Amino acid sequence: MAQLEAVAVTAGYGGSAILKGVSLTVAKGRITGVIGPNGAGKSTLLKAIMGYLVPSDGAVRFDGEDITRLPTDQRIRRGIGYIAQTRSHFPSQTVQENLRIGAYLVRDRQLRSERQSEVFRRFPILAERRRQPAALLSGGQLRMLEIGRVLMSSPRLIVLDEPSIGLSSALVDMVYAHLRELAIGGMTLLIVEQNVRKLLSIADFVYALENGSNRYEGTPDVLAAGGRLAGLYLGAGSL
Amino acid sequence: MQRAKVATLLVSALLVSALIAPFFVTNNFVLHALTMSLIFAILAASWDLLFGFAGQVSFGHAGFFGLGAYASAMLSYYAGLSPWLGLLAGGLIASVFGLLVGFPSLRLRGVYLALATLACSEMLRIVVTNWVPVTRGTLGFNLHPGFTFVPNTPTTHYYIILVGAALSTGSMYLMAARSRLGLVLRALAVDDIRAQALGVDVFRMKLLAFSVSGFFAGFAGALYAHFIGLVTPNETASSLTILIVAMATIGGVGTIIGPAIAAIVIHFITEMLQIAGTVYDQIAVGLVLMLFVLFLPDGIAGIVRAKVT
Amino acid sequence: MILDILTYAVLGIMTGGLYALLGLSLNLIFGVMRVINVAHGEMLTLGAYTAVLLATVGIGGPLLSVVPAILVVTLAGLIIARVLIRPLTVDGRVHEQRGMVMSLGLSLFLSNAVLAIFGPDYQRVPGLMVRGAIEIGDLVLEGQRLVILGGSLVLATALMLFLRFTLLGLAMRAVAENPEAAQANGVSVPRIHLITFGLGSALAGAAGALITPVTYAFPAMGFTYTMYAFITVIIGGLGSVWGAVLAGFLLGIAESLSVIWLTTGYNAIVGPALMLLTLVLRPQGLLGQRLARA
Repeated sequence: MAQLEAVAVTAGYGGSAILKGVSLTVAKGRITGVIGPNGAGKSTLLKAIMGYLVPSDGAVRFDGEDITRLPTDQRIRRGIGYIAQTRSHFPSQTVQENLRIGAYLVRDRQLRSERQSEVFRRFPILAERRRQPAALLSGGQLRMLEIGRVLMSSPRLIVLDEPSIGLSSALVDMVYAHLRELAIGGMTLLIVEQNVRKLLSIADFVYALENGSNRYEGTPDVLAAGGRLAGLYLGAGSL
Repeated sequence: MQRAKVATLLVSALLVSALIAPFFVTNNFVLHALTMSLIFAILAASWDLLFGFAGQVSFGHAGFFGLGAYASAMLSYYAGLSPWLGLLAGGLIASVFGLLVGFPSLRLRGVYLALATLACSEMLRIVVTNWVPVTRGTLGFNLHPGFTFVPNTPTTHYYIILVGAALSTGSMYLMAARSRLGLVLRALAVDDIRAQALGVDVFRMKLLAFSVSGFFAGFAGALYAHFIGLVTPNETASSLTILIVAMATIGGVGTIIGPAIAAIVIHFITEMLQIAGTVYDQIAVGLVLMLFVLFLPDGIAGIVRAKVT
Repeated sequence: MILDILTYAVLGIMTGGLYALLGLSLNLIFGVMRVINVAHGEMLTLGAYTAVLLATVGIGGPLLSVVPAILVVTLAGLIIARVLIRPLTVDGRVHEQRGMVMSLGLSLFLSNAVLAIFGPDYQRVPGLMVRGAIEIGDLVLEGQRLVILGGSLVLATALMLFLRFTLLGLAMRAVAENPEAAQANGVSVPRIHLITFGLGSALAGAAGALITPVTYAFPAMGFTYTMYAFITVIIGGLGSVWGAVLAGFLLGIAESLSVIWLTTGYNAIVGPALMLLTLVLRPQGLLGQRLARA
């Protein structure tokens, strides 16, 4: 069942279109991945899905509702969580304040408290550093903070833009272990990734973008078997 | 090039009408207003040279103008200097001030740069207002309006200032739009880090832009001093700077000619409205400016450019 | 001599409170929206004239003039933010150059509108001052000036507590730091902008109401206070709340003390000079975090 759909989205900055009619379906409870070379439009697609960019054509639907023109904060309100590629947190604020903002839409104090405890249980290092400014955290810890703060709003779908970026191999494994755990718990994930191998290891379905258009799509084993991986790593020119 | 032809046509038409205007305009008040408008044209163009081309936001242009006016007036008053030389002196002294202002501003950008220039201009104003033994404080200087060797009639003044305005605006335009210096300045405005990487001596260029812009603003100030005959600290007040920025924005930043024409139109209309007795002229300018920023950020020059392409 | 210095220093503290308030309110607006509001002083003018209007119908006194001033200026601020500034906002930040020029136009418009409505005469709020003074030894502290200081301190403290401990304050700080991430948490950046501008303007308006019993109100008064606000913000550091407070008092004291060496009139040069010095030597100000080249 489709929880999130992008239908023939055309979007860009200024006059030029970066996305030219891209479509994508994210199934509920599944991990959907998006890969592609630099400039393929992956981040732009996420921005359109999250409302940072309004498409000039096409639609975005969440649980059947058309959210194409909805402001970002309204989309968050409907249960979508988002972790941007870089700096999806507030360096000058403490860990605790970062989490508090994650719960910006949560009115119930009890609920907030419970969720914070849950985040601290999941990421003990955050509990340890709760009163420290986020700027003092390491790269891996920041990624944990970002996941923690997204969980504070208890979303039904989390969109992640390159969660592995800037992290060492061990940290990437750690992050993905957490993501896998969330997925097992029933969370729907949409992940854009440069680290194709890592993504294929947990994704249920993968889209490949190139030059702002859909290129391939399929389950990881089909994609890997088809020998298209080399092409996806290096771009269309190599085929 | 179609655009160049249209532009030349427009400007020539304007020049011709400017030349023959005194024959049609018989009312001295109106001629006076026109003449003042021409002075503002030089001022607005000088601001645009600094901002539209070199990318340096100046909130201190009133300082250049006022300094040019004061320098020329004081030289005339204390040393009996000929007004003609006073024009040159005003421009030169203001251009030195431009260097002084440009120097601390070298590493600054945007709001910081704007505030630095504003600080300089304000400091000048405070000195001018308070250094009574030299600048006569709020009294200012009362000169015999006019120039030597010419009959001092409104028409003569008009032509003198017209020539001054045409020459100034013309040379600023050529400098900015048609010379290598202009190219360098524009590269600087867009990305001075890259320009520096390409070997441009960014600091020297910026200082040059400041002093040239200052020169013309000071020249305008000196013209003002001898045309009006009264120079007070008001001429260094930042309300003047606001007006200049308004004129340049409405005319179209980065075109030199746009701000010059906008200055003429705006000042002329406001002065006519003032004579007619309304207080609403400045309100109108403020309102028009806001509307332009909202709907026509590229100014009138932008509209013209769009229509012609 | 010591008495002189003390007197001037104390006077400086009293004006410093005002500068701190001005700096704080401007810092709030700039920090959150990145708009350079040259019309900030005009918000103070509106507050001042509200107090003047009320005085003509016999309503006065610190509380009775400040509260309506805050209400009036908040409304004005909200309208300005919605109609003039929001259209210039992209990606959670106001277009720097256009915002600046827009505020210039607003400043022109407002100061002349006040001129048109109230006339050029200096206006005073007559006889509704807090009378009397406190005397500490040879030092005389005028009652009304204490009110200004007290009012400024109360408002400044309230603002700082608000920013530090409320959810809305946290949201504003978040938008100031990272609008994109703020939005990702469900914060409506356009709404925060409105609230911020309204709040910042309101504080300036309150300052206007506070000072009218002591100084004259006249249409062009706004500019001087805009200058003080910017000087305070630059010296303290853009984006730093404590910086604005510190800088405000430093400026007040420096400006006041300088009367000993420079004559009154010249001492106005202290502000711009300090601002220029800061910009050249340490653009991020005393406690600021932003880089002048960023």
